[in-house]
Amino acid sequence: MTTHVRDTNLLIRARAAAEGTAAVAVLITILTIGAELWSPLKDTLKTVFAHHWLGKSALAIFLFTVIFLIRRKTSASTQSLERAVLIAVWSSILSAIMMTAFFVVHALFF
Amino acid sequence: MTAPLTYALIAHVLVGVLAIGLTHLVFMHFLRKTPSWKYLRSLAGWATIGFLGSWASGAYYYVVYYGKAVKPVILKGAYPWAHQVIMEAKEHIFIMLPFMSLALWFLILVLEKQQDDKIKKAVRNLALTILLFGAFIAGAGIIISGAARS
Repeated sequence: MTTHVRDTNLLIRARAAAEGTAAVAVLITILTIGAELWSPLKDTLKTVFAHHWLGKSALAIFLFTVIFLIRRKTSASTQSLERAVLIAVWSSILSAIMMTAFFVVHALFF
Repeated sequence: MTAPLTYALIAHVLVGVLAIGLTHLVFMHFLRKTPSWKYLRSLAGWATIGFLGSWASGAYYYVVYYGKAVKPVILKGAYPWAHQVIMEAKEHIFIMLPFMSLALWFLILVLEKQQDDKIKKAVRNLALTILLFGAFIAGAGIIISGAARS
């Protein structure tokens, strides 16, 4: 049974959280692979946040919060929510596959 | 290893496994025709708190101790790939988990108010993804621990 979601605020917040999750997946992939290939990025994360992993975590929290706050001011529908969840799921899966594959290649050839 | 580091490592493992177990319960309830949304909301909320707790305690152990004392041992041992591949993948995939779990909690709030089959299916897939990531991270922890002792 498919019905219309009447509580718009909940819908918008859920979509904002899903979009924030997708953005975090993209950010972590870029920062992780980028920091391994370009040492100034890793050094900057270490300098600013004491440890590169803490830097990635802090930036992930910051990005999620920004996306959540910005996107919860826009309208949402059940279709846009479903799409956002699918994007969050697939970006997370692709991020995990890309990072693992990168570290396999990195361990074998670098 | 100091007592706070030992407690942090124990908390990282126990709370993390508990959060994975709670997410497993959420996923299993999604297979029902009429899940109890209030119960699922509670499970997903505690799972998010668990992932955050495991994240924080794991971060303390990893930043303060692992890089200096455990990583060099693994790299010099018989299974250096346990750090080069497994730990590197684990520590970065873990960053995504609390956000995914928080999104799951928000989505269950939506489904609690009004059901939509397409959203329910998408959210079920998100719960399954969190569960698979959690299982990978738990398995990775066992491999890393084994490599450090070998």
